[in-house]
Amino acid sequence: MFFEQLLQQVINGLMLGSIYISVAVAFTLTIGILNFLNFTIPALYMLAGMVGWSLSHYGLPFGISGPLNWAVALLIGIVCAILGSLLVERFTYRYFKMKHGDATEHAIPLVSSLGFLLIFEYLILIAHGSDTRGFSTPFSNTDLRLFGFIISIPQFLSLIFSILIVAGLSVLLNRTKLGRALRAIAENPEVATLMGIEVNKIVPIVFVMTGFLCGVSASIFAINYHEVSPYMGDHVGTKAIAAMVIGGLGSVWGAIAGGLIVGLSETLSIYFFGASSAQITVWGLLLILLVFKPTGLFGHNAIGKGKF
Amino acid sequence: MSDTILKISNVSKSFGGVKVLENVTFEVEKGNRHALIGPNGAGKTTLFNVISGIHEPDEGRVFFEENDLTQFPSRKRIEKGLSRSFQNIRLMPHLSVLENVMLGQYSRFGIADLLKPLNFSIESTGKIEATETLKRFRIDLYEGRTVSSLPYGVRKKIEVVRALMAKPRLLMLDEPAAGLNTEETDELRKFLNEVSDSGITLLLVDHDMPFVNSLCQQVSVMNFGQLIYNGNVPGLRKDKKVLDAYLGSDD
Repeated sequence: MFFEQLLQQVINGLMLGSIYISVAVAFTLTIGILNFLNFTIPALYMLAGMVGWSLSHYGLPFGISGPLNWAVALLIGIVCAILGSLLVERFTYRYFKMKHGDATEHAIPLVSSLGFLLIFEYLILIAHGSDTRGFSTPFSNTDLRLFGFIISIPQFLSLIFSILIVAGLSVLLNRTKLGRALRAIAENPEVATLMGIEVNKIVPIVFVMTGFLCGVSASIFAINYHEVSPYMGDHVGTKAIAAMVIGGLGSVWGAIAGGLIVGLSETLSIYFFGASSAQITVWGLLLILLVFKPTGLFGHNAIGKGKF
Repeated sequence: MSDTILKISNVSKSFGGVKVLENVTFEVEKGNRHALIGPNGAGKTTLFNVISGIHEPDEGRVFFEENDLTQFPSRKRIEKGLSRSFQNIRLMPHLSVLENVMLGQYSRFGIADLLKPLNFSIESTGKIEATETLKRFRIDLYEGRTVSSLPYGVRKKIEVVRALMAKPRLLMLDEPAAGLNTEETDELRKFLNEVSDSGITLLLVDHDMPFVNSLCQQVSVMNFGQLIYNGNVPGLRKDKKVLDAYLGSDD
């Protein structure tokens, strides 16, 4: 009985991890390619969730309505996250790059991305208050019972979907012209420019990917846990950063492993020690891991170099 | 003189009050192998940087074929047919040799080319072109290795091949022979002769006089930011200003 319950928790943990995977990959992309810890990521995640909720709650614009309202609302939420991300690119990364030559050498982009995090969060707070909102989808009760274990179908599909997105990203980075340009920028943006790579036009693509990953992840969360809140980004943000560090900075596959490990340790910790213990377990695990392997599980020595 | 490919006209450049280039004027003829020499700190690399668009000159203009390049960014200069290698190797150490070489093609790709769905498939023409160029210069052995694991001489060659991938008409090489042993230098000379035979004009900075003597037809000498000699290689040894710059004058 105990063993079965434990296994159920493992399953739940892996499912939860699928939420963290995409956000951790978003973090890892900006830090790996641009050497920029983008603190707006949790806000973009929250933005997608809250915009999705408000559109499905108050109705879509132009009087559109139908059985798939919630899905369209989430899609618009994802688009908002992408647009928000481009806004951040324009006013943190690009602006400071133009002013100071190299944005990554200054803490200013990091701090201004923190500013964007707060601005987005408080705009949503002003618009919708701080309550947690229920998000209803037709999948409220579609659990699959397999050998006595409960597996939520949308959660299971989410996990597959997250891994597919990351696999696609890995192919993109390693097998396409665009991917090679991105890796060249990660290695040395200055030389990449001298090679004739249009760095200024390619960097926004990283931010589009970031926004997309956050949006998708928030949608998956809303569908699976049936709720959104203006603070949802903070919870996932800290876990995703932990997942990225555990997996190794700048490693896409490391982010997958890190996401699953964080999800797993979180549910197991809640199961054994109660709800308040989750953060302590996750970050404690991270600190212990860093003592023995400072680069994370799949990381390399130099941040941003030779990744992907 | 209608066969001029590159014309530097009255170029000056200072960094924080130090005049690094002072009124430099010279021309490179089409199809030539032209060397730019001079003692350390004479301003050769700065001149290269002005020509390739890394620095903007304070005064003067740079003409390439019919175009005034002075205001062009690096990418546009490469597009027009002017590419270069660097004094200290600037390859991407964690990318494979093939990938590094293929980076040289990016001046031809606009952002739309990179986003075209077709290019998400495994690419062909660019790869074939890169593989063939590597083969032509006998470094295809290393194709899949990461650059950081390769000997210095090979890396120097890869830089030249990368610059060639942009299909330049003028290839600028900043100290291609520096740090190479005799054998590698011989190999490089052969290699550059082949490049020159294929119709590409060469402009190179180097310290290795035997190398310059055996490769180049034309030579310009710089000293303290000024051009002090411009002519053929044999004439160089009789020129008083050049001898003074290198050996020190008597007075």
